[in-house]
Amino acid sequence: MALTYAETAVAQGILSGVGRRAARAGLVALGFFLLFWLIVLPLLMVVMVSFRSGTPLELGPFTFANYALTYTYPLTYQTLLNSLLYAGVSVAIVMAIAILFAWLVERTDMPFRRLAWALILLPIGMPSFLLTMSWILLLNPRVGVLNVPLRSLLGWLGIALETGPFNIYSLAGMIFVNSITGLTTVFLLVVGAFRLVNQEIEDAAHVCGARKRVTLFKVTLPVLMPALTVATLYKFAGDLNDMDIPLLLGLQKQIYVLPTLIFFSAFYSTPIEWGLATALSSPFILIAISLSYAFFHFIIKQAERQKYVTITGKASQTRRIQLGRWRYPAFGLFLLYFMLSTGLPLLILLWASLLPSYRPPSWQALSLISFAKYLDIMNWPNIGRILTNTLLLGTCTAMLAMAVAFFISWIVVRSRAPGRFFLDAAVFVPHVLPGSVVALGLVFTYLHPAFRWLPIYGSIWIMVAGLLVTYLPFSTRLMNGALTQIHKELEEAGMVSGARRLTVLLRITLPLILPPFVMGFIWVASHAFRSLTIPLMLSTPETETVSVLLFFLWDRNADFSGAAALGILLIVAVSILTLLSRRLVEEAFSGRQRS
Amino acid sequence: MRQLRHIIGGLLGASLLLSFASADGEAAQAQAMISLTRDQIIEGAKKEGKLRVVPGHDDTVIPGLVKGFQKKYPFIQTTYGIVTGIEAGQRQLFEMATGTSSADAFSPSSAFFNEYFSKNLIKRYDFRAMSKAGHLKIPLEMIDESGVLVWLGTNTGVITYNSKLVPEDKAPKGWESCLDPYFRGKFSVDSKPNVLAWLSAKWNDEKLLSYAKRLKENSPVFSRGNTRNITQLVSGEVVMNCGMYIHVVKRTLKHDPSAPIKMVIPDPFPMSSHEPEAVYANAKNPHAALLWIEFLASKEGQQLAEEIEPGRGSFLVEGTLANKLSKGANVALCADECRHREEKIMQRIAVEAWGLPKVGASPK
Repeated sequence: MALTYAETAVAQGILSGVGRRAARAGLVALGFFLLFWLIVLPLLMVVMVSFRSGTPLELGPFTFANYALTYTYPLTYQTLLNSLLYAGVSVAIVMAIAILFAWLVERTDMPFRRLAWALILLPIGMPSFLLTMSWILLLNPRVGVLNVPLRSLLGWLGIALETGPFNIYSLAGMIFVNSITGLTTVFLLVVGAFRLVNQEIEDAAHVCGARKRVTLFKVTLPVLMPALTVATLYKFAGDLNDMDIPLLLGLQKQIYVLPTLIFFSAFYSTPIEWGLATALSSPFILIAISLSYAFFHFIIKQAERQKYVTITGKASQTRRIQLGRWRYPAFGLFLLYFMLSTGLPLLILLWASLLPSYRPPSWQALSLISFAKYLDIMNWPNIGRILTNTLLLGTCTAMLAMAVAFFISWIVVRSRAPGRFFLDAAVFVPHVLPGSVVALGLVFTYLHPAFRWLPIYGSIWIMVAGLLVTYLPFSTRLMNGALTQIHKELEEAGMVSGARRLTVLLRITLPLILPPFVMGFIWVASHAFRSLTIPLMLSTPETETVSVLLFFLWDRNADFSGAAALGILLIVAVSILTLLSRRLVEEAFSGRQRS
Repeated sequence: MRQLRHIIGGLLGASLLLSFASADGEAAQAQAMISLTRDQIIEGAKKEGKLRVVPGHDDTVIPGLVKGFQKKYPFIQTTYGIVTGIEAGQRQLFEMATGTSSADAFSPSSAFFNEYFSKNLIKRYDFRAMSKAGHLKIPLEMIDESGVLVWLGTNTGVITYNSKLVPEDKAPKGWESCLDPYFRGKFSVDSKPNVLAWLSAKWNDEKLLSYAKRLKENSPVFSRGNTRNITQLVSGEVVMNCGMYIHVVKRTLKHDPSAPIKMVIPDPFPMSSHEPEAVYANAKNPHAALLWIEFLASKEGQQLAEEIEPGRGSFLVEGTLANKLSKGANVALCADECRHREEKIMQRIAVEAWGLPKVGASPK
């Protein structure tokens, strides 16, 4: 029977509709499969191995022995307490400073705001172990570059000290370095929200007679709660899992946190005691899931009632708060932060990089200065390829991370899809999951006979995938916070006007949250440029990146001066790229707003 | 953080591996030892014409070694891979266990040493029999007791001091100097005491632990890793280090002859077998791999490695730094049985004598 043209068209329409639905369902299924494979499966493995004896390649019978040993060991609780103290105090300090800085930059008439932005962004390119090492050189109690003149000064005042006055090898030292290291990330998590605050809400408070301070604490900050919660939870979870700073600074005074206890308990054994390591790691996973649940329950659920909305269909204009005589002192705070986070560490690293091997600054050492270490790096075999790989890795990871995060956050914050809490928790957990877990998940995915045909293994794309999973916790936190501030009436208006959902997302929602989106891009790209674990594990000589070279100089070659030279180049390059991209997007955004 | 990551990462990766029932690289079954004649090796290598190596040497050394090997065997096209750090070691282990590794000759990572054996990832070439019969020219002492693995290098430990801060008359002389109250609180030891553990080849455990306890009483500064140890010493943060690798000192002095570091050869002089090399069980070019290992063990190969990285060559090969220093010294060589016990001894020093934390141990 022949079909008429109209019948054929209808049939095609039905079929294409069915096809679209099937494709959409397929995509969703694929997304969940990848999520399961890359994140959930490794988590299950952690839990499983913690209940088994033997080695992972030859697992023994089911046992509670790992937990019994771990949680009857008195030091476990002491280190847990240290971890909570280390993370808790660091978070409190960092949050206070980040909120102050974000407010000054986005809501006040402080001078040199663009410069202030730049000063905050600069530390983003500095690997934490190099920053920690530079503070050791500055503040170690015996020959610290800052301690020696301070001691002389105190001696001149009649206070004789043999060491100090500062000692970086202390819990206070650990918190200090951790705080200045982590400020940029937290700042980026909160600053977008400050920019999106609707002036009308504050105006309403003023009209009701509230003072500036009252408005800030009673009106502005509560509205910013999603972003502040996101930043707090993100920083806290990350600090609990931090080992670089505690190992470098805590070992001397035997101050241990959970990650260092795991290091000493499991890694000083052959075979490595995997059961103990996982039993000790399990709290991290529980904490991550609990934090995700808290965020979902207290913030996302509230956001569904539009509690935190600051951007609506009504036009609004931001008016900056007058600081009066505090304008310049406020900017001084940024200079102080810059000196601590970047200026002083960079100076000492620069000094180290100009010497054949490190020694404290002196007239005698001045005669040894040369650019030899920089020339070594410039002439390093395949340096061009290493730089290209690094650039490609950073840019692709950042683009993908932000795109994926945008869609995931939209599902979590906007949709009513069942299981969206699990989606949010699943993407957050890798934040407390060691990077090599992600890397190994990928190794096994692509080593499996079912996937071996894919041309990913051994290419730069497997590193992109690994970094994507690692940085999704940050990028989704950023997007979650931003999306809770956008009223859904704006999207509804677009839908009512006939636009498709995807069009609405890309043409309405995305432009509204462009500032945090761009900040996320910069953050992910910068971290990908200097990320170590995943490139170290997944790179080949053909896909080597700058961070792999940095690791070689630092760890294998024990060449601190060489590592410092590469660190300086990395910091400068990342800073230039960061500032440039921020400037370009800022201009584009301003242009869009004007038009 | 990295250490934590590779602990958990290794665990998970290995566990994931277990789920790969269909992986075609299932470990080879235990095999009998294989012994080949020189002619068979050369003929086989000629037929293969290719070789992929992943040696344990430093990245800067490998290209020179490959070039030297190519010069000697121009009919073998050789490519190389680099395994840097424990994370990459894990990947190598899993690639081999799943049969996806392209390596022919490789260096088993010390962190997973036993797993290479238990999963039968090392080809059962009988290096000892082939060397005894003269088919391979490898010093017998370099061959592991298993017979399937060759130790191509030696790690050597020394006592170092800052020559600007320690007057000549106070310069350390040996292990007793680490107990000298003059250095109290001003000297460092690595919290992972490999070098001290090698002394167990000469001292019994009781003597070693007693020494380590007395060392702790002299308030050492604990630090971790070569970079930290050498930087602390050169900067003057500490004035002496008890147990540093000689190649780290030599490398620093090579780049900076004016660095204020001097070293003392202690008595006993601790050394350990290093740079293990073996043929992968599923190697596609096993004959060429044998020639490669023989080349690395030869005087020519050792000299090439020593030129770039002095102090890493085998003390068994004439002309290497370790060989020169070992002459007339009371060497405590940690090989074979000692090497297998090394981690346990190290842990006892760290936990029992120094009180570093370890779940399951009694806290000090």
